[in-house]
Amino acid sequence: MKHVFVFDQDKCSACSACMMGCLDQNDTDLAAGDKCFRQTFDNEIPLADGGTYFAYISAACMHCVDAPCIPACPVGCLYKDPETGFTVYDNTNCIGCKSCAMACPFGAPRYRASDGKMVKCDGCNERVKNGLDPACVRACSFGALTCVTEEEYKASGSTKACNALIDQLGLRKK
Amino acid sequence: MDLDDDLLKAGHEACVDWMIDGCGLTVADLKAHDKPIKVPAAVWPVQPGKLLKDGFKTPSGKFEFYSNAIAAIDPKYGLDPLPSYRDPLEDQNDPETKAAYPFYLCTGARLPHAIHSRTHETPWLRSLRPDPTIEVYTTDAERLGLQNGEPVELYSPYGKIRMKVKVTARSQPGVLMTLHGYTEANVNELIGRNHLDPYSGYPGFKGMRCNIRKVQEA
Ligand code: SF4
Ligand code: SF4
Ligand code: SF4
Repeated sequence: MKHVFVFDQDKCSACSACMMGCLDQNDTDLAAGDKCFRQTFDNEIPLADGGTYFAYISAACMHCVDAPCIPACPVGCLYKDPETGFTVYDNTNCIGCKSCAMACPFGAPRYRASDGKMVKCDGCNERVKNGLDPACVRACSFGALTCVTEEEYKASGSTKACNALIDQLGLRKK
Repeated sequence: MDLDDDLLKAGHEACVDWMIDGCGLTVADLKAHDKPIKVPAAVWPVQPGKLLKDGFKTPSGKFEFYSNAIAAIDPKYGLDPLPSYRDPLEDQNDPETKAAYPFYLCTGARLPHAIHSRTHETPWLRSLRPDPTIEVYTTDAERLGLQNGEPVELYSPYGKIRMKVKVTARSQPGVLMTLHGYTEANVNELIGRNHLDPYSGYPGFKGMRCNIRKVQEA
């Protein structure tokens, strides 16, 4: 069953519990210089009327339907899991060329400090395949970050989260 | 310490008994039994109304808006039995101090990943905000030319610490907001030892006059 991440920025407080879930799930070695696959932002955007817009965002790999990172990799590390639809990888052959990061509009691929190989959010593919929520989703107490099946997503008729995120990104460039 | 307090003089166990009073057990009970012991007073569902029935621990036995205990204290200490507002900075509002330390340091900020002094050294949590940070209101930051991430010194008549700036619209003009518990930037060092709550004597750790200035190195 294909899965999608849904992010509702109205419910997010940038508490970063999702990051803790991700760090834990992936045993991210911060001391070695590795970074969390998920990143939160608490941006304050000054508005024309003198007010402030507080933009709380949590972002990781978007698991793009037409993922530009996949064809960008010269050695074919990245691919779609046909079951979950997540952009997953096997970095055995990774040469650390960073082509995937350049192709990715969201800066999702990371490079492991120990050997320079690409690592990234894989949607917690193994968890989802076994009926669990991704670790970040599991950690979010506010229901801001959810992971639903494509059918559920379509049935909900909601493009709100996606649109909001795009708005935010547009706003942040100001 | 020969303190003027009967309970303290009665010793540790008497104090613990006082703290756990109402649960239906005493330290002597706990010592005499195998653990665990069920707490006799913990019956579900909870029956509220015990204090209304038996009376509050006040001189009148009532819930007091006008505190008889405070009224009994010598008026020379200037305490009001009614819960009237007092400026928490009243001990430091003379014109010179006001001019030299125009900011209100609020150390009552909370971050979701920090519990007082406990979790600052936990690497994953610490990674969310690696540096001790002082939140400066947007207009104040503009006036002082402070940018996000800039190293600054906070100082009061009692001490100085270094932090990094975060510009925010989340507080108020004139307020500098930060978190306590950093070993390398201990906000309590800025707070005078005589800045006390006049009623309880408790240290006023949450607020102090202070000032902020740029420094070269963090
Ligand atoms: S845990 Fe939820 S509310 Fe907190 S930052 Fe992550 S998505 Fe936002
Ligand atoms: S790594 Fe980037 S390009 Fe690839 S699926 Fe994730 S967000 Fe899309
Ligand atoms: S899905 Fe898993 S790997 Fe991806 S951000 Fe969430 S916890 Fe991290």
